Amino acid sequence: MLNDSVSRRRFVRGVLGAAASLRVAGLAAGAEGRSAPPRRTFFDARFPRAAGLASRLASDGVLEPIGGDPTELVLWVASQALQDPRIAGVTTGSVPFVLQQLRLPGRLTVERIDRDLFVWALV
Amino acid sequence: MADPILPPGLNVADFEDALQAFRRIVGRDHVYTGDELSSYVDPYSIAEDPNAHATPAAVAPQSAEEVQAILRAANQHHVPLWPISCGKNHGYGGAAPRMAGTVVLDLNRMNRVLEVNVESGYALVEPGVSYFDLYRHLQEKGLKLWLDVPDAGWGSVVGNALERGVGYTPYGDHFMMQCGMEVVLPSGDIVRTGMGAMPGNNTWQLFKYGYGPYLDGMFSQSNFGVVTKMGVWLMPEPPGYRPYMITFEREEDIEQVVEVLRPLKVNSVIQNAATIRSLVLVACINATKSQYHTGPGPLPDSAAKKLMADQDIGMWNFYGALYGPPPIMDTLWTIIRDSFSTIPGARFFTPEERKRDNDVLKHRALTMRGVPRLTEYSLVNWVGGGGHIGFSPVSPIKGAEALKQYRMVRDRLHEHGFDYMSVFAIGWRELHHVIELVFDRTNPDEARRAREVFAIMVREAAEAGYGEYRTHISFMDQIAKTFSWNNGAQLKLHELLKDALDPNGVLAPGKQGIWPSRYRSR
Repeated sequence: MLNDSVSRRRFVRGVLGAAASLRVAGLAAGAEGRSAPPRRTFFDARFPRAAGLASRLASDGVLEPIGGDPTELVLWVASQALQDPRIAGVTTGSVPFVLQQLRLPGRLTVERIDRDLFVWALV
Repeated sequence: MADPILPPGLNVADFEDALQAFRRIVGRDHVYTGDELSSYVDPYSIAEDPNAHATPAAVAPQSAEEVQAILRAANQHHVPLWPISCGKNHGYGGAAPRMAGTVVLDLNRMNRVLEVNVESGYALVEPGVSYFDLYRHLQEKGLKLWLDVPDAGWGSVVGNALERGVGYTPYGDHFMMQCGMEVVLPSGDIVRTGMGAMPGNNTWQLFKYGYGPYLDGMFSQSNFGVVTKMGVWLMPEPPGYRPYMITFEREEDIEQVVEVLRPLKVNSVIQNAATIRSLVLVACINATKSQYHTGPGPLPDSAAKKLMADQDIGMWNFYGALYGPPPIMDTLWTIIRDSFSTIPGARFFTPEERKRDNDVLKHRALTMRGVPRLTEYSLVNWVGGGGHIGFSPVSPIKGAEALKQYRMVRDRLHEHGFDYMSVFAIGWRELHHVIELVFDRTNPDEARRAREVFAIMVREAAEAGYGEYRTHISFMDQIAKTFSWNNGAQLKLHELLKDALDPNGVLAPGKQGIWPSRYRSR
């Protein structure tokens, strides 16, 4: 069980591999010491790799499958108003794209990890 | 952060004076600079110059009075302004201005639903009201009215109508369904159009034309004024609704599909703004290209066939809906089904007959009843780091024209390594052939090829007599020049109007290729 930010960062780094930046992995895992891990982590259920990565990013948080349609996520985010924004995901690009457009409070960091998938974190 | 691109002719001190004037009008918190400008870029830019559409600042008023004051200050300080409503004009430039150095006039904060009249079926809204906003307003109040929505539900009701966007219910022609405007002119003066020009009149949102020349069209796709209020007609909730999909197997079927469609549409048997969608545009909602083809170039035929089989869709997919009392829907459906059954291989579906949770017909069943969504953003997933720009030539509703356009565009896209993704949207008498040029925006070579093929398609379409109904900010000049009848008489008239209404050229220079005299020689 990973229960501190340093080991979590190391773990995420290993999970994501060289293709993903440490910056994103660290943010997603709350590794900078300024934020807790994501309370909700989304993954694109069409891609087995996404599920694997997301389950590790999620730590103790909630893990939720989504597809390429960002509508429900955006509506959910909007319903959260200014409450705790800590979410992360391993999804296709449409999801972080619409989140970028929403001018949400917090900082969204995005990195592409293969042809289809992006890892992202809002902290 | 790099130095901002300032308005032409202004130095840093001049510009700071202008920003101070704007701050006095809207408050310090609503004038944005530096890192606060990330929302005002074109996320899908294909411009060669990364600063081609850069803005140095944005100002966000909350009322028509503040818009008036900003226009007056802009004239005084010679600062050009680019109005946006919700800033979601993706595929056409987003919130970015046509000319570098133009300050964005962000109307997002003007987001009030001022009136909804259920009896007469209309709403009066400000430009910052999105489709999601108006839909939520109707739902929360339990009002039995339907919106007509485009594919991007977070766009502005006003902005989409002004850009002549389309939706999918019988009210799908958005500019046709607007009624009555309030407009701030470049001078800062304010007018109301149609019946709104008469004090105490109660038909501003009911009768479009008023008395004298009809002005509303002047403020669509234009830089002649800032629309601060607009009426929009809403559809009474019908007693019945039945969405459907018809699939067609072969590329060349598009010709017969359109021939069958024309009399059905012209005679109102097809009631709504129905669409014919190409294979990849439908498939990308549930699949990515790499799942079917990892090599270079467009999707091979063998992969296309597999995609059709996997998703149980056609090379062409027609989405329509029936509205009204059941006996009327029954009658219309019999005619529609019999008509399209003449095309070999045509298959008919209702949403209940589709197996996938995220089936496209289930999604379109929502948009054809006015439920705003963002589902279509899935198209950017087709190539991973996707961006898209829209190429949208118009043709008659004729099979030969549709087939000709299809082949012309498909061949050019394939030559440049792109897939053909399009929708033929059926208007009252015309087809909008909206081609989504989807490219990997993280790949500079793909962006370059997208830029090249877009310019070629515009030129070749014009040579074949096809004009575009709308375009990306990077191509506004090129498109404007294709409307060249009588030595460009229309553009000259636009420029005459522009110079009369906006002698200092402060409002949206270059919008739709219309430049004020101040910048015309640049």
